[in-house]
Amino acid sequence: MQVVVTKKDFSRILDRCQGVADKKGTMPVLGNVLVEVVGPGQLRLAATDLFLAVSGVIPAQVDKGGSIAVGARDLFERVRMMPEGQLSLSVVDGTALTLKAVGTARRFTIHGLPGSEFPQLPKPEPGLPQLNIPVGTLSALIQSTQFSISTDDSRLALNSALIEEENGRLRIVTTDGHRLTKAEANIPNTSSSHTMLIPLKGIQQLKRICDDAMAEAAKADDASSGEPTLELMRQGPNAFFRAGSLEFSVKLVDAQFPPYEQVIPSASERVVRAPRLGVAEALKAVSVAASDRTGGVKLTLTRDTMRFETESPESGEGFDEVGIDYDGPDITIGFNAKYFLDIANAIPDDEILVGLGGELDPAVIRPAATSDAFDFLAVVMPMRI
Amino acid sequence: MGRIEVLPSALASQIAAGEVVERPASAAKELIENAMDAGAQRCDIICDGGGVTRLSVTDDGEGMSEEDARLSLERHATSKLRSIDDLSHLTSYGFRGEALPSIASVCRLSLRTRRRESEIGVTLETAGGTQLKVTPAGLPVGTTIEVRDLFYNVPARRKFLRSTGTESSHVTNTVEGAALTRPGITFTLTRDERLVRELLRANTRAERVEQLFEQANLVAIVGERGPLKLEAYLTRPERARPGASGLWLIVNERVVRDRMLATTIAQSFGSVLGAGHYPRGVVYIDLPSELVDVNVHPQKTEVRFVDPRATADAVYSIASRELGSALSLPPSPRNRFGVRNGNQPRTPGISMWGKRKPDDEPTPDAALRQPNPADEQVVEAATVTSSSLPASSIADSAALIATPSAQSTGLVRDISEASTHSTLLIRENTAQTTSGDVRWSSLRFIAQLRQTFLLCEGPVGIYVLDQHAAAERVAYQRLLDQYRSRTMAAQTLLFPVSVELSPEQVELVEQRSEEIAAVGLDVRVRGRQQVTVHAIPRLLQRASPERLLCDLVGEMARSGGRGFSAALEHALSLMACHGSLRAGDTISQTEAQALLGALDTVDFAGHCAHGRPVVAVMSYNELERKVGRR
Ligand SMILES: Nc1ncnc2c1ncn2[C@@H]1O[C@H](COP(=O)(O)OP(=O)(O)OP(=O)(O)O)[C@@H](O)[C@H]1O
Ligand SMILES: [Mg+2]
Repeated sequence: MQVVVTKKDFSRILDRCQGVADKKGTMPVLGNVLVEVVGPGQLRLAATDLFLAVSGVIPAQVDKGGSIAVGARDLFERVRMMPEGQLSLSVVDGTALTLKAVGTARRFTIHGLPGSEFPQLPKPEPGLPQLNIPVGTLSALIQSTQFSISTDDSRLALNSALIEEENGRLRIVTTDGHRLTKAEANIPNTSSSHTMLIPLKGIQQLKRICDDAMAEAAKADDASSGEPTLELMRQGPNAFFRAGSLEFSVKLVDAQFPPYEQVIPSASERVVRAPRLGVAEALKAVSVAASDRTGGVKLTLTRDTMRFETESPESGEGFDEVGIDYDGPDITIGFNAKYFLDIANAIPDDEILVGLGGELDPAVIRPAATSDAFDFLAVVMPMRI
Repeated sequence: MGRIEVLPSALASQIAAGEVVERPASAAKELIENAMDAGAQRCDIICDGGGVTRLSVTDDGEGMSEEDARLSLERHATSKLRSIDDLSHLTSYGFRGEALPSIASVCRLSLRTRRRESEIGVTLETAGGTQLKVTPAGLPVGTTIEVRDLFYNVPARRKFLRSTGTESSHVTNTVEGAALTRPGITFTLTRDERLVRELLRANTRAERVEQLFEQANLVAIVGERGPLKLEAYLTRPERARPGASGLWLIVNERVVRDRMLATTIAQSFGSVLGAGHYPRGVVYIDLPSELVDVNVHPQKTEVRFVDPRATADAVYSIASRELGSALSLPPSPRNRFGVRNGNQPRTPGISMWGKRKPDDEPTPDAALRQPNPADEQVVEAATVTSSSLPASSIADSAALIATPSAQSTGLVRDISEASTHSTLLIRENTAQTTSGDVRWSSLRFIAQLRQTFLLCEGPVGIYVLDQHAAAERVAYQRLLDQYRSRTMAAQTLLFPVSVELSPEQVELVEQRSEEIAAVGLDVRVRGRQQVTVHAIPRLLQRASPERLLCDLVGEMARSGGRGFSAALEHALSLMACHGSLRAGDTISQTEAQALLGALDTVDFAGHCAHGRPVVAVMSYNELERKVGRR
């Protein structure tokens, strides 16, 4: 193999590949990135951990075809050390890749494996129905729900995000069993419907891909091209996403997402409107004094005030309040401060609505202004302190 | 079966005397065993009002003549045992001639029986042991014994009975046990007018087990060693429960309770089972009757093995090997019976299959004791890792630890390997680095090893901590503090978790709801065998709610109402174990350093809540010696 590419193109794809490659796993080959010539003027990079797979094709000046697999981290670190401009890649003896910054003396050689030893990535059949999702929408939905995915990978259903698509509505729901967030938005006319569970690592990568695509589009600064979209296809156990020349596939989680609709209260006894930033700041402040062991904060609604208190034998007390409109009876509920704060931070509105019931009832938090374009809701279960 | 004769009194006194009937289930057990001894093909049991109102067992066995029927109600009248020699070759369940008279003395009993040879049967009625009526009657071949108003004449006993539901579930258990021991017999159980079990004759044990454990997805293993045969059907490790109550042990077709055997089975799963957890399922052990004594318990629920160690060894070696391949468990040599004395010499004379020292008494159990080569290794490993070794052995073990083995990559790997089976505490004789005097927060965390150990640099040496044990210890202390100060923070769950328990456990949950709430669990009873968990302790929120509840209920049941708060504290320690950072979890630099800091606030001293040492220390002196600097 003998090719010349620009560092910019190469490292954009390599970034994604190194996020997916499995550097710690038991199959060393999965820690590699596959670099292969796939056509005249085309170089492909690919990586997989057998659950996720990513690949991208970039323009290249091809002098000689071929392929090689080299350690993702090694390649990434070396490419980063290269000056902007052109990179020449050549394979020596089939198992070593020499990387050279064109026009300079800087050069690295990395030992790798023949490209043929790299596993085959799943590929969608041609002609599958496609769903076009604006990347900005998907990115925003992920952004506002990602934090409540459980990090416990032994609970498959909770360690992933539920994506539902129906009649032009795209929805993401996540929960760690203590809180739940749901975000949904309109997407261009569809008649399809999809339900899938994407594992946490897949969601994180998907978010990056969306953000990359948006950044690209912003740089291209070409108003006529409109908002970039992501094509979604589904086949067997896999979902495929395509953004330009980048293809990303996820092995969907085969588990039952809990019946989330049942736990969203249809109405709360008391609903108050509160300034989002004020609440977030107060929470952040008092949680400094929350017991690091429980992270518990007490929220009290009392006349025209929302009060936050923390108290623990080892860290003393913290107190703050925020002015609101309220003239109902006093209510006090305990929460994990972080749960509440994550949500306050995720809401794209200046004001939030907080719905409370009894001491052990779930709290419902949502933006004050509802819109079809973007709808958000969070449920937090209280903590008995 | 011969005619019934009254035992000579000398023999009678050699037979364990004692209480036979403690509750309806024990009466059921005796009656069913009699039916099985009578060669029944079918056995129908009726249980009303927990077996107190009515308990009846009908069989199609050989029946009794009128004379035998009368005799059967007399003490020490048995057709099954003539002399003490017979006692060691028992093949029948009964041998004392004690059951029927004991039962008869505490209830109203009616016995209906006919032998095939007789045209007409006989009905006998007694109350409190006194014969009321004997009448000839037309009856099918076989025997029905009906027990009514159990303990009607012993109110003190009656008071000790539990709720009807509990008693009847014990009866059900007894029927299931009998059914498991004898797959070839059809059993039915009608409880309060409802047919609740119908177990048609099965051809194999596997079939019978399947009838009873319908969807449990059991792993089947079989194997033998010397004269011992093992056949087991066990749940997969993830369905293990605290306590051995779901594990049937059947030795020579008798249901027995045997802690050692249960523990051995649990241990043969290796480290995948948590402490105190057992699989559910059935274990059949068959061995020649001279190697096991069944006459040690009035209700025959215990047996005594002639060589318990060898038996456990054999069971362990079969089960661990078979389970290992059936579940593809990592090989996990373990110290099976606690710490063994390293000095205890092994008897070389019986170390090979089939060979014996000429002067050895050729006992049939010797073959059991033959260790196989793989076992030999287990023993060595166990010896090395015990912490109470004499000084010379410490040197040996340290040497072993520092000697790179073929596949290991140096010191750290070796430490971790040795520690998997048990624990390890290397102490340098000269340096005063016993873990007791170290301030954990003064250690510098260097790295996490194999997602299991925390490697730290200390003033006089390196420290390797078992991360799970350390985290567990901290969690336990905090839980305990919160529990004692009644400030247990509980996180409510979005999706309440439904857990199936036995009726007795549900009863316990009902009775102890306040104490359960105090440990941070919100549990609500949903049905006779079902509860839902609505909140769990905040500190343990990574644990499975089901597991936490099972830990708690298991402990509460074990305490049997006595020392209840001690049981709760013990439950907290189990819960801490299941809710803390585990081996395999990654830990960040900050988390690790915070954990070290927290260790100073608890009474850690290098031991986990169960008292295991969980830190290995190697002094720089020793390191220097090992690399030849000294
Ligand atoms: N269902 C039955 N069918 C036929 N014979 C029976 C039946 N039940 C009891 N017998 C006869 O009655 C005798 C006494 O029974 P019992 O249960 O009291 O003593 P056992 O079975 O010999 O010894 P153990 O006290 O150990 O049970 C038995 O030996 C047996 O001969
Ligand atoms: Mg008997």
